[in-house]
Amino acid sequence: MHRVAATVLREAGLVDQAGDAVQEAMVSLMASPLDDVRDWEAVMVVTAKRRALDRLGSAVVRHAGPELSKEHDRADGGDVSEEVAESLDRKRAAASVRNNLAVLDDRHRKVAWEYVALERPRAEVAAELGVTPARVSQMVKPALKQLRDAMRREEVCAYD
Amino acid sequence: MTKDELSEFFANFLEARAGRVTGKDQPVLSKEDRAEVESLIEVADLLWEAGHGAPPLESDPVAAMLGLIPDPRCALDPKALARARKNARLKSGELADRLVARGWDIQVRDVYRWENQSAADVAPALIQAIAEETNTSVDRLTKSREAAAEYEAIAAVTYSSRFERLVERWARIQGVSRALAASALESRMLATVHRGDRPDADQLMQSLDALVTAIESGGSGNEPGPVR
Repeated sequence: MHRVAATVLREAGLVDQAGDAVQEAMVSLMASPLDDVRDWEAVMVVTAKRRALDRLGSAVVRHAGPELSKEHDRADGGDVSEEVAESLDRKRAAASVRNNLAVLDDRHRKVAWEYVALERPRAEVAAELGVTPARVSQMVKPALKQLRDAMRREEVCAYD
Repeated sequence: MTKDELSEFFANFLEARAGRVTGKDQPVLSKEDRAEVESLIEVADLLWEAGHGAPPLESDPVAAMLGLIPDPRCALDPKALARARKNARLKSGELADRLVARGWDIQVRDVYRWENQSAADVAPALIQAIAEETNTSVDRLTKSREAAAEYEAIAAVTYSSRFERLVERWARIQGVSRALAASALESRMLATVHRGDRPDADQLMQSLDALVTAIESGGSGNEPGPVR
């Protein structure tokens, strides 16, 4: 739920509201529980996404005026089952990239996780590694390349 | 595009994604470079998503709302649990099976541990489920606040200036942030409590001090690996 809400809010620079969107989603489900739910994970993920989109829509309205943007209207429609399937695929892929961090040495792993994943300031990560910020930037591409190649190998093995 | 130019491209891209505008124009990519860059951006995006999932349980307000965070004010009493289970004529395995059927991820060895060692890590929602399965009330299964002294010992340690100094030393030794260092030292104290030991605040503090000092001196005792 958090990952989906954060992804929706990221483009608008509102990632720090992801936790609030998830809380609102859970409160709304607890206040009005649904009957005959076969997949609670899917329901919670979709509800969290809707709440995040609502926040996005509110932010757009505040900036652009009362007329809603096309993105908000378009995002509110669509096939729910496709949404959930896509969300679960992303969740699996995100878990896979995290598991594959083990292929990196300690330093590249720190750059990949602290700088790329957690978006910590480059200068901070550089100071902890005892290198220049420019060196951290140089380490990003080989780290991402190694992760990409490891994930591709995993996919090939899965089909064998 | 050269290697250095690609590295710089990524640096600017990631800085812009993090909202730290660089003010630099991005170069135009060739078709080959674009394909390479797009595949690496996909990996960067997946890393970002992996890093922006749910917060740690103990700091997740949704988990707190759902009763999933152990609460020292509502701690399961091992003796009361054993009594309730026997009164309900349930074996440990049968209780575990019933809780699993409700969606809890536990095993029979957890039930043994709760009854014979420590049940400090049992969340309020799970205590509620245990109460329902053993036909008793949560009040009959839980200890009073005064009996949850082990958590009060941890709180006494973490609010002290001596703990703050240990955190600074640990952060320096491990090369991590202050928040990570504090979390690591708190987790170590919690692990001690969950094992069933009941140290007081002084004993916890001495144990942490000995650990930090040992690592500073290059000791290889029972210390954890670097905190990530």
